[in-house]
Amino acid sequence: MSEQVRIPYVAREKELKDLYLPMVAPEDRPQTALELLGEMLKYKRSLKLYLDVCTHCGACAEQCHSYLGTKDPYNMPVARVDLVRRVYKQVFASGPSFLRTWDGAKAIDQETIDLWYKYFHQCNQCRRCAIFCPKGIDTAEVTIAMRELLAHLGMPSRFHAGIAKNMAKTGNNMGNPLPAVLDGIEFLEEELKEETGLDIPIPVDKEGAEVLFNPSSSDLYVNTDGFMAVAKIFYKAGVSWTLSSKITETANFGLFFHEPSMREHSRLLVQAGKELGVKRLVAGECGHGWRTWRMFTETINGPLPFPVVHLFEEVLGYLRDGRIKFDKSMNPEVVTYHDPCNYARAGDLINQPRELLSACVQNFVEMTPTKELSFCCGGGSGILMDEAMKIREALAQPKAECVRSTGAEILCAPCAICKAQLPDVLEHHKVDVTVKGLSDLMGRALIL
Amino acid sequence: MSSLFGWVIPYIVVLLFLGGMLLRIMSWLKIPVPFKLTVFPCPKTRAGAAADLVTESVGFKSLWRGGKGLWFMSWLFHISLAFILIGHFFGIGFLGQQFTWIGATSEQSLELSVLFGTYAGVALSLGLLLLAIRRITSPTMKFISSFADYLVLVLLIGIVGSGMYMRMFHGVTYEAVHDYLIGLITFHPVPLPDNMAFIFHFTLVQLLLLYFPYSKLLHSCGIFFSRWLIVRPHERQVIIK
Ligand code: HEM
Ligand code: SF4
Ligand code: SF4
Repeated sequence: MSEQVRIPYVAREKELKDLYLPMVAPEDRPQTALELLGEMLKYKRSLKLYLDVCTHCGACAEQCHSYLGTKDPYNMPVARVDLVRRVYKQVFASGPSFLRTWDGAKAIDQETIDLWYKYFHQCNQCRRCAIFCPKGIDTAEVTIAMRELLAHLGMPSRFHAGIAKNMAKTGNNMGNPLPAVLDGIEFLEEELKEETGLDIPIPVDKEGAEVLFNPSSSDLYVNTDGFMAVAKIFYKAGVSWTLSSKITETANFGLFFHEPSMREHSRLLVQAGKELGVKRLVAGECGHGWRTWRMFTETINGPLPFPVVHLFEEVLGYLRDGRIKFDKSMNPEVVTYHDPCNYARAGDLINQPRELLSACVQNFVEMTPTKELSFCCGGGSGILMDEAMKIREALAQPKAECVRSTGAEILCAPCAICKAQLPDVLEHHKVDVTVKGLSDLMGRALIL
Repeated sequence: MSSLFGWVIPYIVVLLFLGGMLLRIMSWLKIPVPFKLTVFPCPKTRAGAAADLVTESVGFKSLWRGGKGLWFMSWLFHISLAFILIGHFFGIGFLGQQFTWIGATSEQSLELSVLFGTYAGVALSLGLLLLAIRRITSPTMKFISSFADYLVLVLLIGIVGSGMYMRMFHGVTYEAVHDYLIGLITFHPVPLPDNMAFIFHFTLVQLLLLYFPYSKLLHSCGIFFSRWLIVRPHERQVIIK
């Protein structure tokens, strides 16, 4: 089977097996793709509506950082969707076929599928186009559907499939086995003791705790300051909390390309919370993890046995009640805030982080555009593959200019994906700024 | 021959149009919406969301957020289109006498009706021409345009142009059209006005109606369904504080 190299790399047989995804021979793909698209059109109203109502007005083009950064015309949201629309018009749309030809109907072939793979991996599912499209067409929704379709064609990206497999096997995206996770946590407890002189616990599997905290696994290894800050905040607020050894991951990659993985991830966590008897689940710093919790879980996993809240909502509660206090002078630098797309547009977390920031940093400056109009970091929907570095840099270009013009020293980007993407790409664009989570900043300012 | 064009075909066209639209709308409604796609910040109530749809369709709020040029062209076109559709109803329906309700004399009312019609027609043509120029001259617009995108504009320009022409230079009166249309609506055949300009205008409109349910003009209904997906308020299962 000779196939041209695709960026990002396509999953191999072993990753497909792990996710129970089929291998489809290249010559069978067009036919299978049509069957899958037909199925999707039957259960996603958004997809059919979007394919029907776009007027090709082009209002979305200049609003998509992917197009702005790559200058590739297929990255205009409308052109991206047109790659599907032409097949839809050919096969599924109603009306006489000569009318559909006028709309650009075109039969599906190998090349179409290659284009799908390429351009639906250059959409960050950021939803900015949905805000500017007068029809409210959310191209991210089409991207999610098409990635799902590609997965069932045996063509998820290797990176995404690998992460979903790690999650299924170990309960975290990094693929760290339980002993390593526990080791890491013990190490962090020692760090905390060294730093503060206090016995600040990081409880694991503590039954009857009030809060089950679900961090993104990268916070346990890479952004440890932020994670330790959370431990300090719970300690100071006097809240009994715990991690679950079964699952230390809030970043739900299933959202990007594979519904069954998404559902299983949420199910595991809800079950862990039930077994521990917690009162609520607090989600850590991760944009799409939050979107999944906030918007999807209830629908695909059924009613939740306990509330799911975001760390920021939880901490804001402590702050407003006076259970914790910050000393702003600990963060004297100029700080700006990057709204992770899945917090602001997709997750209703716009003012909460700002209220926290204004309580814990001295010099806060807004970026332009900001809040729900903010540009994506270019890593959204898990476009974090090493082999796609050139693309990632191009996707990040509009954001880099926004950050540069704030002149900030610290860029607060409280999302695991943003934190993985921004340092690399900002360096490439020569923007001199330190990327930190909001927890890090709160941790520095917290009066213990 | 003229009874075929004036009497049989219009009914078929209207039936195909209404039936087509109904089927298209039903085809959306029968598909479930598995996930909540609300984009934040969102209205807090369903009434708020409905109000959002109204302001969006009257003011084209989302387009305003982006480039103002497109907003202007598009808004000018749509708002004058709305005026013209309303104008057709009153002008033809009440023979231009609608302004007597607010105190004008019969002649004044007719003059006003014609005048407003002309202004709206000019605005509509201007909007359409600007949209067409934009589509033809911009390389990005060319990239995303297919034949149908140009065709719709040409068809609309043809309709507006022939409509203005027949009124201004061809002496088509409200009365003649009124009698014919009322005849159609009440199922009492009256011959087609014997006026080539009118027949041309009327035929183009029928072509547009036939094309409508299978073209992007579907957005005129679909926009309310697609926007509803992202503006409907999101009831959260759980809220603390
Ligand atoms: C009979 C009804 C309608 C007709 C014939 C019509 C016609 C059109 C046409 C031809 C375009 C494309 C213009 C272009 O080439 O760029 C368009 C675009 C658009 N329409 Fe309509 N429309 C109708 C109703 C509506 C309604 C009811 C709404 C909103 C509530 C609406 C909102 C829009 C918007 C936002 C665009 C995109 C901007 C643009 O390209 O102008 N339309 N319409
Ligand atoms: S979701 Fe974001 S990246 Fe994707 S098409 Fe829309 S604006 Fe572009
Ligand atoms: S803004 Fe919306 S309607 Fe206009 S081209 Fe883009 S997706 Fe289509």
